[in-house]
Amino acid sequence: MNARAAGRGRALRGAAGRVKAAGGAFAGPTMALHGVAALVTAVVLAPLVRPGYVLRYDMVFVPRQPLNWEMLAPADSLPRAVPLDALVSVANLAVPGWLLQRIALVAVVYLAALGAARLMPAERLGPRVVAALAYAWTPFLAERLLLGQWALLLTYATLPWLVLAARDLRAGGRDRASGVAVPPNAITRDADDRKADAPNPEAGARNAHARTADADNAEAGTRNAEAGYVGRPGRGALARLVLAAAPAAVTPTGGLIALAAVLVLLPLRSRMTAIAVASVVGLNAPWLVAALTGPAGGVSDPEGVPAFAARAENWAGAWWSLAGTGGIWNAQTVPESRASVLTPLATLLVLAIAAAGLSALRRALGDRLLILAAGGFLLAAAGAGPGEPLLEWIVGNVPGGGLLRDGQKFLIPYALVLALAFAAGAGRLAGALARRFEAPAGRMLLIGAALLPVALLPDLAFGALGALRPVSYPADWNAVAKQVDARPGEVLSLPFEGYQRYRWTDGVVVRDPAPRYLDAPVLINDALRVGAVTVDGESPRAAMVGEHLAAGKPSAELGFRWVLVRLGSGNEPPADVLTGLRLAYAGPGLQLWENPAAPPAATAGADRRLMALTAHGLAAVLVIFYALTLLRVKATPW
Amino acid sequence: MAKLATIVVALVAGGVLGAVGIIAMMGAVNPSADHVAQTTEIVDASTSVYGTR
Repeated sequence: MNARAAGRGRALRGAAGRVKAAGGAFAGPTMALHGVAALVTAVVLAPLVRPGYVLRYDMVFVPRQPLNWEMLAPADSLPRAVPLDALVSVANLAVPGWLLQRIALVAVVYLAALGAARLMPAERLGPRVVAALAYAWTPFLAERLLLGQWALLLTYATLPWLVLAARDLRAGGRDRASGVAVPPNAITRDADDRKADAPNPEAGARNAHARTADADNAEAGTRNAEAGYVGRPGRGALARLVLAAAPAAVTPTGGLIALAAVLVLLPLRSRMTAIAVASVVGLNAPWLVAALTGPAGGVSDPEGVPAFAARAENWAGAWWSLAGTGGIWNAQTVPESRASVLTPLATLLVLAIAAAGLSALRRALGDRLLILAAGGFLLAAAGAGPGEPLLEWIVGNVPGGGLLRDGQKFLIPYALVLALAFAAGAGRLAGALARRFEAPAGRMLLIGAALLPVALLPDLAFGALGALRPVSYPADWNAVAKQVDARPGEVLSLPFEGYQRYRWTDGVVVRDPAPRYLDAPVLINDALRVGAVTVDGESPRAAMVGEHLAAGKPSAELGFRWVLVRLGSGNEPPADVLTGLRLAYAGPGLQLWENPAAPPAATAGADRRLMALTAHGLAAVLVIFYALTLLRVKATPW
Repeated sequence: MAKLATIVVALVAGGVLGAVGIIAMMGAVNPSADHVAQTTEIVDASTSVYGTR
C-alpha cells in the first residue's frame, strides 16, 4: 500500500469512528468536542454575562437598528457593511441588539472551535481538541475581536465548515463520475478488504490504487452518513458549502475569501463547481451591486497600504508575527502577550510541530487547502514587504483594490491550516511517544499541545482581560433618536470623525453609532486617522463636507436637516459651524441641532434602490433554497 | 523506564507552557503596558484616532 493509500486508510479509520459516533456507540467524543467549544467560548466571552453592549472600534450594536435604504445601499460610502447592516436590522426586528451581539460573538468562537475539530482528520479525540484550541485561541481571533470586526470573524468561524463541505462535494463528484455508489457502510467494506489483503501483500499493493478511489468514496459516504444524509451526497454537500459561505459573504472581504476558497478547493471543470461559484457570487451580489451603483469612488487612498500593512508585534518582525497568525496593523488592539520576548520562539515551536503534521494533513485534505493558505499568507505579507508598491498601485488605481490594503485579514486560511497541521503534528508526536514508551506519555504531550495556544496568549481569556466589557448607551441617544424619528431628515454627525473615544465606553475607540442608532441617513467622515497619517475616504461628499467644516463655514449651508454633536471629546465644533441652527436637544453627551431651512433630502434613485433590493433578495432566496435543500436531503434537520 | 518517560514529557511540556505562559501573562498585566483594556482619560483631539501602528 503506498503512502497516499495509507494516509487515506488512517483518515478512514477516523471516519469510521465518526460513523460509530453518529450511530450512538461513541457519542461521547462528539459531545466532548461540543463541550470543548463551549468551554473555550465561555472563557473567551465571559464578560458578556454582564448587561450592555460591547462597543469596540468597528463593533457597534444598538438596541434596535432601523431598516432603511442606507442599510441596503449606502448613499455616500463604500458598502463595507453590506449586506451585514440589513441583516442585523432584520434580525433586530425579532431579537434585541444586546442579545444579537451575544449570539453573533458566541457563534464566532463556538463554530470556529467545533469546525476545526470536525475538519481535523484524526480518529482520536486528543488531536481534535488540539485543533479546536489551536484555531479558536489565536492571535488572529483575539486581534480582530479587539478591533470589533466580528463579521470578518464569521468568515473565520465558517471556513472549516466550508472546507469540510468542499471536500465532500469533491468526493461526491468523483462518485458520480465513476458511477460508484456510496453506501454508508463503505468503511466496513474497505476495512474488510484490508483485512482480506493482509495475508497477500502483493495483491494488496495491486489494489492499492483502486482502494484509494474507494477511500475517497467511502469518506464521502461516511461523512454524509454521519451527517444523516439520505439520497445524493453531492446535493447535501453543495447546500452545506453555500450555507457555510453565506455568513462570510455578509461583508465584501469575507465574501471574497469564501469565493476564493470555493474556486481553489473545487475542481475547475465540474458542473457542481459552476453551480457553487454562481451561488457564492449570488451571495456577494448585495455589496457588488451597491458598490457598482454607488457614488463613492471605487479606488482608495494608496496611503492606506502602509497604514494598514501587517505590523511587527515583537523583535521578530512583521512576517514572523503573521506566521503566528498575528500582525494586525493596529497596536491598540494587540494583546500585550504578543510583545513577549518568548512569543517568536513559541511561534517557532508551533511551526515545528505543524511541520511534523503537514504531510499527514496533505494526505488527508489534499494540496488545495494549502495552496489557499499560501495565497492568503502572501497577500497578508505583501503590504509589509517588497509587494508594497504594487499593492499601492492596485489600491490607488483598480476599483475595489482597497479591499486588499488590510491584508492581514486574508490570513484566515493560513490560520486554519496552521491549526490543523499543528494538531496533526502533535498527534503524530504523541503517537510516537506512546509507541516508544507508554500511552500516558503521548497523552501528556497532547495535553501540552492543547494548552500551548492558551499559554501563548493568556490575555485572550475573560474577554481579553476585560477589554470586551459591555457598556451602556447614555440616555441621550434614545432622546435624539426619537426627535429624528419624529421629523426625519439627513443627519450630519460632528465632530467630523468616524471613530472616537468616549468616557461612557471607558475610553475605548468606537465607530460613530449614529448611522446605526438613528433612522435617517447619517453622514460621517470615512477618512481614517492612523497615528499621524490620515487615510482619505472614498466618499466625495464626505470629502467636500470635511473641507467646508475645516474652513470654519456654517454647517447650515450644507443642507442637512439635523446636526448631531457628540460631546466630551474635547474636539467639539466651534460656534461658527453651528450658526443658523436651532438647538433641539441638549444632553450631557449629545446635542441635536435642527436646520429649519434645510431643503428636502434628495433620495437615492429608484433604479439603484430596485437593484439593491433585487440583489439582497437574490442572496436571501439562495440561502432559503439551500437551507430547504439541506432539510430535504438530510434525514434529521437538526 | 516508561513511567519516567511520562514524567519527562510532563515536565518538558509543563516547563514550556509555564515559561511561555508566565512571561506572556507578566507582559499582559504589566501596569506600564499600554494594554487594550486600559481606560484612558479623554483630554485632546487625538481621541478620534482609529488606531496607531
